[in-house]
Amino acid sequence: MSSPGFETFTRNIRNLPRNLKESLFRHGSTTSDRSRSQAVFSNLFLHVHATRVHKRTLRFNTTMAMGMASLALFLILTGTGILLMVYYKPGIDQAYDSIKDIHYVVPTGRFIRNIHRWAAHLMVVTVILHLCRVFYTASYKKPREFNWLLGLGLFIITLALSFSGYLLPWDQLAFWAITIGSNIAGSPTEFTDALGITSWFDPGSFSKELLLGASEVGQEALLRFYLLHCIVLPLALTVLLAVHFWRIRKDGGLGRPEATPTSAGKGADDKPVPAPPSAAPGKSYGLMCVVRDRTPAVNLDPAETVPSWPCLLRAELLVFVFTMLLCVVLGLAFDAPLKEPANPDVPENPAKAPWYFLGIQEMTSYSGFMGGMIIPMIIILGLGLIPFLDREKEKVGVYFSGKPGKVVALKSLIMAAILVIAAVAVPVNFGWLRNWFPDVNQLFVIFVNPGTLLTAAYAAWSIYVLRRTQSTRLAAMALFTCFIVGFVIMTIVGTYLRGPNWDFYWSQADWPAH
Amino acid sequence: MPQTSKQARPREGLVKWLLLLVSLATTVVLIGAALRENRFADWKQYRLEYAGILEEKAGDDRGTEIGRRSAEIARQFDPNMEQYFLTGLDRVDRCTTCHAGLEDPRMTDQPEPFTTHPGRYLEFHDPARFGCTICHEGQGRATETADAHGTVPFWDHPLLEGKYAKTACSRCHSEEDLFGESALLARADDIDKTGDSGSASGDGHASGAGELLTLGRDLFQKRGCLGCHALNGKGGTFSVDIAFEGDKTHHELDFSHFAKDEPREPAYWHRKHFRKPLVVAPGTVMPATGEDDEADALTAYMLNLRSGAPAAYRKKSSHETGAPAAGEELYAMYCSSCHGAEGLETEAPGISTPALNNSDSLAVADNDYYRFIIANGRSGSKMTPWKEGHGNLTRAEIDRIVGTIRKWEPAGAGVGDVNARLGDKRNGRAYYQGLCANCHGRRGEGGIGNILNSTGFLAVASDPFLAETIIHGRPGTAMPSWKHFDAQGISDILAYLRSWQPDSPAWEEVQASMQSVPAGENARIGRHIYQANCSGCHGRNGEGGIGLNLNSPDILRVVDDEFLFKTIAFGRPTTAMPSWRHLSADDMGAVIAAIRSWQKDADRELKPAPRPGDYAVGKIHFETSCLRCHGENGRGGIGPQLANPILLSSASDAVLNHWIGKGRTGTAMVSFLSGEQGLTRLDSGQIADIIAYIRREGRAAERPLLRTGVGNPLLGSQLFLGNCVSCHGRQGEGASGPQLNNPSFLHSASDGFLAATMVLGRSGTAMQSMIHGQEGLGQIASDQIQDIIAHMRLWDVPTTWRKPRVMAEMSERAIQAGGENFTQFCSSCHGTRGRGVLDGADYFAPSLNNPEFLEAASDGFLLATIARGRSGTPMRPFGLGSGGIASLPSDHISDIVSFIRTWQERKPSINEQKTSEGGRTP
Repeated sequence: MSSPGFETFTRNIRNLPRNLKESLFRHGSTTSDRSRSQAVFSNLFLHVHATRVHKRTLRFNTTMAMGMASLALFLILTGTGILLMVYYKPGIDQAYDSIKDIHYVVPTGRFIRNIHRWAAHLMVVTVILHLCRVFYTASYKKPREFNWLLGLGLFIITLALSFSGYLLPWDQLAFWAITIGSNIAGSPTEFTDALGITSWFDPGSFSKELLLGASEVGQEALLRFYLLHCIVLPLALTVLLAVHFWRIRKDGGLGRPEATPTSAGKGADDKPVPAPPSAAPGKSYGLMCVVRDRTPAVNLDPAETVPSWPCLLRAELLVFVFTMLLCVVLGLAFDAPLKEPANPDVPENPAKAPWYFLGIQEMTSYSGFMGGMIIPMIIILGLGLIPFLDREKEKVGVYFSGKPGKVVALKSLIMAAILVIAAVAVPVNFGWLRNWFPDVNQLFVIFVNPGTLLTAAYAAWSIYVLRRTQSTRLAAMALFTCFIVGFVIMTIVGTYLRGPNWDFYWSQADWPAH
Repeated sequence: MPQTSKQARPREGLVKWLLLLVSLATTVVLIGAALRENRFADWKQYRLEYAGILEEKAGDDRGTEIGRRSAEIARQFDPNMEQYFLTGLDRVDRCTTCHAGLEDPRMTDQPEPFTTHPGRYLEFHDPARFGCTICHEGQGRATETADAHGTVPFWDHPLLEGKYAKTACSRCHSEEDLFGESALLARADDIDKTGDSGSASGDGHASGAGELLTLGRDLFQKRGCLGCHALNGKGGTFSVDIAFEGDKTHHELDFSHFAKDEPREPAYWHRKHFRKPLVVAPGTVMPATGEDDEADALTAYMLNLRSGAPAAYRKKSSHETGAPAAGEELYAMYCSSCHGAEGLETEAPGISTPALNNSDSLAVADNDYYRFIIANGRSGSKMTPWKEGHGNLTRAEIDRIVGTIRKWEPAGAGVGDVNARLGDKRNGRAYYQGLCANCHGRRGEGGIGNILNSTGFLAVASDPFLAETIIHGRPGTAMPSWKHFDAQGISDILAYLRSWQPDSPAWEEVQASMQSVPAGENARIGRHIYQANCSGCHGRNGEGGIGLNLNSPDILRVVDDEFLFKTIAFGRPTTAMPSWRHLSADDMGAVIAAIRSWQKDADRELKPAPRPGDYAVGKIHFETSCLRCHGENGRGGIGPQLANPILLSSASDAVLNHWIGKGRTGTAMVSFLSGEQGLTRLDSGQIADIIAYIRREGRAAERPLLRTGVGNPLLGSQLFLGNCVSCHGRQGEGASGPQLNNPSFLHSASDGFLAATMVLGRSGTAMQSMIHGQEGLGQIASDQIQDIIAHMRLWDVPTTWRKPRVMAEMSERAIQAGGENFTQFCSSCHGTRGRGVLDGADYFAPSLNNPEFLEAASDGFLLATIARGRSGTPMRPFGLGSGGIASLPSDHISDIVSFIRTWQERKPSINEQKTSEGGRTP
């Protein structure tokens, strides 16, 4: 009965699992550095990693894992978000009910929604912390300026994603938070009003209507926010994220202190492509040699590096799973809030924006235009310009760039805290221009208010540090610290100490009863 | 950085272990979540429990047909979630997931949540169509107990329970059905009380809810809540519309004056708002509700004011809309909260409304005044407009409310009960000096009011005319009504007025005078007197006109001189024949002689009646034969008034018998004995019956003969335009002459009064005789006077609002003088500008300076109020001799009114100004 054809066939069937495995994992078992390298660069998703990474990269202190956590949260958000889209209906008469259905009826719906909610908040936190880490380790310096800009873009998109998701449940919280947010977008009108040119130049109303599709939050706004939240912003984030990761590798991995010994790192710009070290596999180096600038593993002492597979991937997986655990636990323990259905006739008082915008909302309470538009734009612009203004080369990869930096950061922290508390306390206790001179020109109030004065004071402090230390790095650090402290304290004030009519209360228990 | 060791993978073990640990933890947590989700959900537990109950029920009746069906039900029971998807209501109710036995009559013995729905409600409210939450509220989508019952933050409509359980019925059922005849709420209460279905939970926990709600509605309607609050657009505009009060969530109610530990619930808010309105809303004028249960009831009614379910669910009222609310009900609904249930006092804090139930204000204000103020409100005060677009009361409703206000006024003495002959003129004098003199002058010489002491006027004005005018006043003028006077008081006043008339000479004097002068001589003199005084009506040769044709054998040969004397001396009241009592005995004798001179033949032999008449039979004959001309009860019509005391006292039965029997040549009066012109023949006995009837009717007091009904209004309007408009205005609205188109005047003045006034003029005034064409007036024939009267009668339509005649003079002198007087006498209470406030402080007098009041109040209203004051209020009388703070002569009061009129935006037109400056002719 046996025929060669049939035997070949039965052998093939027998070997099917092995062949399948080989076709999937073509590098064989990862027993050698070579096969480990192959595991990385033969995989579409993994090859964004270098085949070997510096051991320092894997230390928790180096990165605090915030970037990876942000990615993990983004993936979790994408997954849960897609599940939520199955049931969510973006119509003002259906949205709230569909959330109620998700909450009460859809199996695991409440759980998924909770995870989505907490992951979103966590992502804002991790992205901000990631930003701080990158700044304080001076990792934005040449050649990483562009990646810093990408990171800033990702930061803004993250906030936008979180903010646009806020409206979708169509409850009171959503409605009034978005109303506040869109009013901030419309705040240039305050400025043009003061100039008296609103009738023929009204960028405020334009941007607000662009955002909402109408003059008030309604069905148009809901659909726009749905579109932004589910398609436009995630796509943009994904694209920027890909470039962000790719740049990490192209810019030589994580920023490292200059002192880290390298065998051939210095002057890589000018030198012709060096010959590959004999112990290393050749193919990948050959490709990478085309790339100018430092590549991650090029010229490194293999002794200081570990193979990405499995060391880096395992660490990344740990971060991912840990992040997921955190989300799952939060999702089980705390329900995402859902207030009354949106009712345009009954304003919340106080109506508060999402917590990460409360610092801005606090400043808009002085002037919507300056606090809501100009100062945030100045901050974003300043952050974007940092790598181009601070081009000192030393101390990359070291927190606070060493001891003097720590001192400056500490001093800035104290200084900034005092200033921001004063900026909040003075108007609370003594009122502001409008209370002192009721007839004062609105332009004056727009430009002279606690928010602008605080910004100016921070700038002055930074310039003072620059003059004292003659270091742009330290000056930048002073300014950044100031803004971070300002942001945190303003956010705390906005979140906990502001009550109805945006009046100051030490605790919510003191709010006038309603 | 430390030099790296040779170890290739630092802390790899730690990472591995951590990864394992974290992965395991995640898995465990996810498994826990899955269990909680699928195994331990509240509703799943309940479903399983209910499945057990079904099994148990099936076990009870094993072997029987019922048992078999029970087993079938138990077998088919689906432990998954159950829901009613209510497309029509846009609701999803999952209540039956846990309340699984609602529709199963076997479950009455089961505890919540499995028990049967109490009552027979589900028979009429199919759960598949209505669901649960449309009646019970709560969160239909939720699947956890607290969430579903809505007793959680962020759910605004918690389950309706206990005393407010029936406040959602109004979503589908109309007010009439809920509270009216079929009283669904009361029936529902009964069902709940008796536990109709035998349900275990038919414990009546909501049985009082319907009663409470019904009480709430009664209170709502009786306490005048609608005076400030509109309901469905109808009602006061002073406060919020409460049409959808029951829809309000706690966000929409102001809890800022509540303590922190008080619940933030609408029902609690309403209850406290009713009990202590000033605490909940400081500064409110809402009156507090005394009783707890009343507050509960009103709260229930507020919660019941909800927006309706979709139209398909609303049940049309099975009853006709009830009869339109009576004036009393309307007053209670809309007015009573401010003006008090009886128009006397108010419960509302901070509201000082004028007492409507005040005899003086009722006397002074006419219905048009009330209508206007109700319709337009009184700006500057809390009186809001009630016309369409504001309080949305219809004209008819406003009229009914005015009618209710009017009812507080005493009915007034009957005109028929007033008899000047029975009056005591000394009492009358006292009344007159205290109450009338301030307008009409101490001796009736006039002032604000008309000249009364005019011989011509008193001669023409009959007692009924005067009595009617005194009792009912003359709305639109300064003449108030005097309804609190009894007939005797009015009679006294009339007696006093009559005392101004000269006494008539006695018949004996006249007789003596006639005998002392030769008849021919006497007649010659008499003819001059006749021409001057009588010919206007009776014709130059007695051929008749407005008056009787005297030159007729049927008069002259039938009546004696005494008949003529009585008629001349006392007139024929209410007809155009005035009393000529001021003529001397000689003159009267001369006139009689002049009339007598026309007589050619001897007096007729008058036959007395063959038998005494029977008035009851006479009534029947009168009604068939006489009524068409002589009017009901002989009050007069085309034919003269028969039931007239003067006529009856002067004409003997024989005279009457002759006239009825033989007729009166030259008039429409035919001979009834012969039955001329096809009229019924009467024999002499029947005539006697008629006479008996007439005499009986004539025994009653004088009745006004109002309308004769002759005359052509079309011709009359031309004559009026040609002769009367210059003094009385185009529409008789009055100018230098008095207002004629005043309904009250037209009502009390008989045609005779009007005719006599036109023929004779009125001495002491600008009104001249129109017959004699004095002072450039056209000469008018007597039938033309009837035409004019017919024209004037067309004005007597009582509905229209007529701008009251401007009586006050708008000259600079008057305004300045009035201003000084106002400052001196009025401003201390009303404020210098009449706004009722001075230097920001409220004064205790109402604001006069508001457009609605000035529009509504006629000059007469103001004049009368100033002159006579307003009892029960701080407003004192200011008229001469009224014993008030000051005694102001009429012209001073009039000046004050002129000054008050300057505040009115729409000043009197130039025309009106010009004519009113021409003189205030009373």
